[in-house]
Amino acid sequence: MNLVFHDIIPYIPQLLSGLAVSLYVTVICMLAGTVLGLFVALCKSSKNVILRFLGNAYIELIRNTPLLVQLYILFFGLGQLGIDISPLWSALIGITINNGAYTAEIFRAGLSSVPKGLHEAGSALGMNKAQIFRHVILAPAFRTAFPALTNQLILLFLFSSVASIISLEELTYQIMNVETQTSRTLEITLIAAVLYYGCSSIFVYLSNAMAKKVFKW
Amino acid sequence: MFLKNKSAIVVLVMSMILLISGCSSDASTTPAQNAESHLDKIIKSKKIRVATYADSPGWSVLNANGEYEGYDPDIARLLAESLGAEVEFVTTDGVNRIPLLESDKVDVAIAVFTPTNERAKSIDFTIPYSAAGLVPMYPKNKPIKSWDDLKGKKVSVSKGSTGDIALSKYYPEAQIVRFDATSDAFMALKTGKVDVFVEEDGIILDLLKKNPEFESLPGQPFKSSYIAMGVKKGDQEWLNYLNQFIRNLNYSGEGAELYKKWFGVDAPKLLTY
Repeated sequence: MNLVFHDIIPYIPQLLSGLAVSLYVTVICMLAGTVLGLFVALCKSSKNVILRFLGNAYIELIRNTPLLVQLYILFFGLGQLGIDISPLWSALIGITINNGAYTAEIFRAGLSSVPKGLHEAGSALGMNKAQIFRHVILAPAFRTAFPALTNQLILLFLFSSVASIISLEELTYQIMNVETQTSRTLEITLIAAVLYYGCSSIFVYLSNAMAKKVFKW
Repeated sequence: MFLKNKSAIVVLVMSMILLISGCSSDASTTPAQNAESHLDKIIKSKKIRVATYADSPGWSVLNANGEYEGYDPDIARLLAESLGAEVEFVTTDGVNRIPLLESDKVDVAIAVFTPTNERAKSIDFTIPYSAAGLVPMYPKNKPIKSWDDLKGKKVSVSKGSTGDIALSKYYPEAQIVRFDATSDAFMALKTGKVDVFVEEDGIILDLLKKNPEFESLPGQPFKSSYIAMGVKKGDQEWLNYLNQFIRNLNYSGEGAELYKKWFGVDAPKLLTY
């Protein structure tokens, strides 16, 4: 085996800028997707038929189509209709919408894991509806959902590489770019694996640390 | 919990060490010594694996019937015929042509392959069977006057293609937008994502026929270069056979006939050996 890394060294800034874009997209889409997911999960478990239908339809539509196709529709499809969205915005919008469907299901599971007795305990303490939701339902639901959300965060980070296909200059895009310029296929893909692995590990570490701090009860 | 993270860190550190130790190893590539030549393998198995494009109009596209058609597939079929073998096409793009050859997933790449000096350090090239140059393609209602107009414009290319290489080098002021597939780079022009699309003249000629709302600069293409077949480094016997095949193809006029059939113009003059 002879691996040659020295001619990749000049491209390191390029790789780091790609990594920065990947991390940026991941963090934004995770935050936005989590808010969207919580909202959709509430729609889905609401008593209003229309809201429930909309929540369901959204989840089914997004979960049953590939992210690649969703990004193509946003970037090229809407482009054909004269709606011009930049690669970065296409990725942010597309991945957030995609992520929202998955986090919605995660939250739904979390919400339904809260026993009914807690509702009643809340109202027995004289809390109003909003207080019950905030303090009695959401907190334990979030704790239950948290490991699955961490998992989703890592999947999201890895899936964001799909956006290279619409020319977003993230890590995989830069990796492939360096590959075509140096022809060091094995070396550059090894570096890619290490970068993705390293960042995912840091995500897991941070998420565990946060869980310890936040869910103390 | 802490232990689990510790093991993750150990794996990370170990892979770092692996990478760094790799840095110090020497840069020479040693070709496999007593490996069987691709030539013998193909004759024995009656099968030849050819990497070609599926989205390079004129040169090679996958048609509605799922067959490869174009200049490159026709040449691949002639080559297979000369060997008494069946062609098995493998779809490729600007990014994975060299990896396909290096990992021995294909026997030869006949894929609008320009034998640049840079690429020739990683793989072997045959003598040229054709030539191509770069031309820009842009909407008639938003024309450019010359190559210098590319400055500041958004220009789509296929990642790793000669267009990508030449623009990066000669027009770094252009905003280069790279796509994995040639078809996506063209789609970016068609959907208004970019101002100009740069590719080999044969591809653009064919696209212009089907898309009259676009046009190209008249005159000579930019940075004309040869087109050759690529093979894995170190199999001289196989390379000799391919060179022999191409010499016959060029001199007999068969290659020029195919060029005329697919591009509607006379084949470029190939020179002088």
